[in-house]
Amino acid sequence: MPDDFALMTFEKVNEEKDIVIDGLGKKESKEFIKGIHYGIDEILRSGRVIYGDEMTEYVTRVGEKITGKNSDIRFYILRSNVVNAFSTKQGIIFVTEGLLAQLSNEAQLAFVLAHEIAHYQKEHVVEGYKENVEIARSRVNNDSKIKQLSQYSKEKEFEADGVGIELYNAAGYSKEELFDVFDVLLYSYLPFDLKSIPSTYWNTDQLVIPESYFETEFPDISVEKDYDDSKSSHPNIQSRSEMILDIVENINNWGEARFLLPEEDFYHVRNIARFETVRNDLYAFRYGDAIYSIYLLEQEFPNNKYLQVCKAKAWAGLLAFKVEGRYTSVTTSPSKVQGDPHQLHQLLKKLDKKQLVTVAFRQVADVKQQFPEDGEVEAIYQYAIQHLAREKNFKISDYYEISYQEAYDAFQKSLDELNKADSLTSTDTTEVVKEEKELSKYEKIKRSTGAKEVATSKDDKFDEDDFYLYALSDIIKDDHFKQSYDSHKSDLEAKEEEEEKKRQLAYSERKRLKKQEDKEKIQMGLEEIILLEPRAIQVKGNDIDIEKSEELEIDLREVVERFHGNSNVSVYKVGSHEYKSHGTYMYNQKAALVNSLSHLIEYEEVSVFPVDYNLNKEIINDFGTGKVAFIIIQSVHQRLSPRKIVFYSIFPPVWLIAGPVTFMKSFYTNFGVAVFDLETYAFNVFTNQQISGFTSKMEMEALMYDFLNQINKTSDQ
Amino acid sequence: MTTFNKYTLTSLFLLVFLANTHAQNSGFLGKKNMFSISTGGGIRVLPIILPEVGEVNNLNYNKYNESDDSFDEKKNLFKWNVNFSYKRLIKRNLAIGIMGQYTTYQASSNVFGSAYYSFSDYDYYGNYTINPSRISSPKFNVFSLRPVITLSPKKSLLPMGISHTFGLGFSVMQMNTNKEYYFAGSPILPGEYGATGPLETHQLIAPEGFKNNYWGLDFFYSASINYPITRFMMIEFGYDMRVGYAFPNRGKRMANETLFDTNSDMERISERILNEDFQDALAREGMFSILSLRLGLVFVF
Repeated sequence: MPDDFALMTFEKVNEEKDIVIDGLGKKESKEFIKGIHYGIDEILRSGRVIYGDEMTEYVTRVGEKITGKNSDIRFYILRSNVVNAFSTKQGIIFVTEGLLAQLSNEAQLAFVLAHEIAHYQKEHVVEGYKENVEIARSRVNNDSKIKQLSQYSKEKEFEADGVGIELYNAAGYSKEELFDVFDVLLYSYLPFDLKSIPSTYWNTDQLVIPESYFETEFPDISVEKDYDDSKSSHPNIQSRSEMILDIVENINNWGEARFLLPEEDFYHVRNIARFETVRNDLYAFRYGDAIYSIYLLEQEFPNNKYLQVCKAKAWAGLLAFKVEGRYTSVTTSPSKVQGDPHQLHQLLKKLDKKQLVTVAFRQVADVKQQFPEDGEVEAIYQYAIQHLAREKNFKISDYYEISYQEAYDAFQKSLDELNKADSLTSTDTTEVVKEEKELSKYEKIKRSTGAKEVATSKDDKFDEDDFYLYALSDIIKDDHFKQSYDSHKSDLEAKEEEEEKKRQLAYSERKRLKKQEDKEKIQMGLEEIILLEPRAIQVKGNDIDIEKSEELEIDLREVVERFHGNSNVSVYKVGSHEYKSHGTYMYNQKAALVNSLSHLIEYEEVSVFPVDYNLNKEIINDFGTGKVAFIIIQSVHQRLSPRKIVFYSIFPPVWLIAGPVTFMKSFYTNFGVAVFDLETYAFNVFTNQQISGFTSKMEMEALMYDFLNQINKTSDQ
Repeated sequence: MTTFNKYTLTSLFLLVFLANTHAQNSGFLGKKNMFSISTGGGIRVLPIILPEVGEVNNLNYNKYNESDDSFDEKKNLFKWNVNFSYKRLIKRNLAIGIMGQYTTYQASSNVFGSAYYSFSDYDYYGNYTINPSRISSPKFNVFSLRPVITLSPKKSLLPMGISHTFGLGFSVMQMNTNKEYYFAGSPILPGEYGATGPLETHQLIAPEGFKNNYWGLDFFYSASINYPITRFMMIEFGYDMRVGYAFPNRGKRMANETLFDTNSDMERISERILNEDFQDALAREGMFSILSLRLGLVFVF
């Protein structure tokens, strides 16, 4: 496991405590070192950085083409769809999966890395810090300060481009690819490829989305190269391209290579990154983007199970958010989407609630039919049915038992018959009417409720907007679906009935019941729990005190380290302390838990489906429990407000009483705990204890002890 | 201690015991018993703001100076106390227990000095009044015992953090008889007693005569913070508000014995003065120093 991950922040800071950086005083150097480690460690601990995988290994190999084998630079992959790479003072270069997914060849990656290596070699982070200090001290207005900062930053970018080109050239890469890199950056807001989704992509035996639902015209791709960069950290693409052109022309010995490593390695790694972007989109609730990326990847990997499962998750997500009324938070306004993806986003917007819910469920069901035995797919299917049951407008009886095509054919047939009848004699017409009258009662009911496909007048047109009513023709006959739906529906009805009963109760009784429920939430009778690495924050006034937070966090970790639960509850700790004993295994466990936590907390009110379902199952198997506790301690020191100072000065006797109270209340500790369950993928409980006074290790230990006692109890105790 | 006190104590322990049967599994690292010992002090706010009300000066006291047989008038600015308590947690945010407090009352200089009395027995020459006389101000030991209930905010967790304690109990006030008190003065105004001149007495008071107790009620409120320092000990700091009230005791003699060796006039005068003025002083004193800051240790077990 690399030291960057294994060491605690304070250990890194202690290692460099005697370093005084040129041009900075001792105190400023200390501040700077502390700041960079704290900031970068936040990224390293975010659960979004990966190492030792194929992508990292490939990027490192390309990096070594530029720096040679003995470089102290470390390359890590950041799980983000943002197209970016950045270097740090510590010698770490982060490359995002979004960037890897967008690149066309190895040379482009090499230039990006060369640019970042140049930043590191020229110590631009330190230079930037010095400039920041200098600008912050200068007596000019803020606007001028921002422009000055931007100017300094752009100078460094130009320098990194210049030095980067030299490194890139020395490695033997081709000059043509340099300019294409800027296109990658320029169009980074678009998906990694552009392909129009034909409307037939959606058509199956059951589902046919009418052509009228697809827009044929959409915003062209347009972006300015020469935008105003006077307040930007980076120069605009136009300036960079022009600057690079000058440098490139001054170099004579250009290589030809687009690839120095095996070409297939690049495409393999890029494909991994592209698959990863789907996962990242799911985590970020960008379901439309995920569906589009899946479509792109399906062209190369048709019937790939991972993609199909992701597709089911994306559609199930859209279904759930639509039902819960939070659909707009997870969809993008089509007007903001340029090029081919616009059509998909437009479709997602155009479908009304019933249509969207049906189309989404149809997609999930298709994946279910493809992988009927798969546990994860079954879980997604149940999740989707559960939300269907929650949708008041969804009624199975509304749906027809024939497919769209069958309905359309029947309609055409009936229309033909009407036209034919029209040409016959009046006696014949009477015959048709008579035939109508002779329909049985049950045939009439069927026709009035479920046979709209039959034309009653020759002027009738087939109602395309009802397309969704045919989309579940096979599913509504399926026993598994019906049983699941009925079961979810009856659960829901039972809950609603219970809620209704509660509403009928007297206020005092409701209050008592609420108290009891709150108690039951935390008193779960647990005997084991996974304790995710806790966090600590020191707040002074309205600001977070980074230094004190770090100290507090060290204290908290010491408490956690010596804390082994109590006789009743076994605590499985997952955090950086355990990296030293369990290495990467523990790092991955922690990353998975952090990802789940941040995924769950984003839309706490909507039940979401786990993106890494199988990984969560593995964690449950490994630990024997899926209950995870995350503790966050916030130590607060509130400053006395000027209003109070004025008040106390005017009325000194008030101070005698209010003074001690104010003092006592100005220091307090918030001990917040969230317990979530990987099995149900939902939060069980949030608790918050607020203890007045300074925060101490003993207090933290006591609060943890109390928390374990609470979750160990059962509500009848 | 009287029977009443014993009964009170028994009730309190019973209360704690009953509460224990409903105890929940909470507390500091599972410990639910708290014993605290603390000391506190406060400024005698009212006498400082208003030292003299009418002819009564509540701020000063007389200290007898043995070397030159005189009295010095000193200021009585602070008051201190010692507290102990035992509490038992019965819920996460509720504890009950008993609390004892020891404090002292320093009688003011005017207890004898500025009161004027008339005696009809001496009406032949007009009303005799006591010439401002002086006594070294007596000290009183005050013991309070009260059941207390301690509450913490809903989100807090006893015994840590901020808590509010309320109590209502009894206090007993006894003159500190380990000290010697001196009296100097005359029952007659100078010049009004003819050729004999003012009668001056200068005598040692026999404190054995003050063994009777004064009783009072006290209401107590305290806001405090407990800050854990080890697994079994916490630092406690906060402030107390105590309002003491002395029961009216008119007509009952405080001193049953003769306080002065000679002079039957003095004897009669002093008895009335002591009884009534002491009571007044004690009743007032309970209101003079309501607030005090407190610092102590809490042992949890």
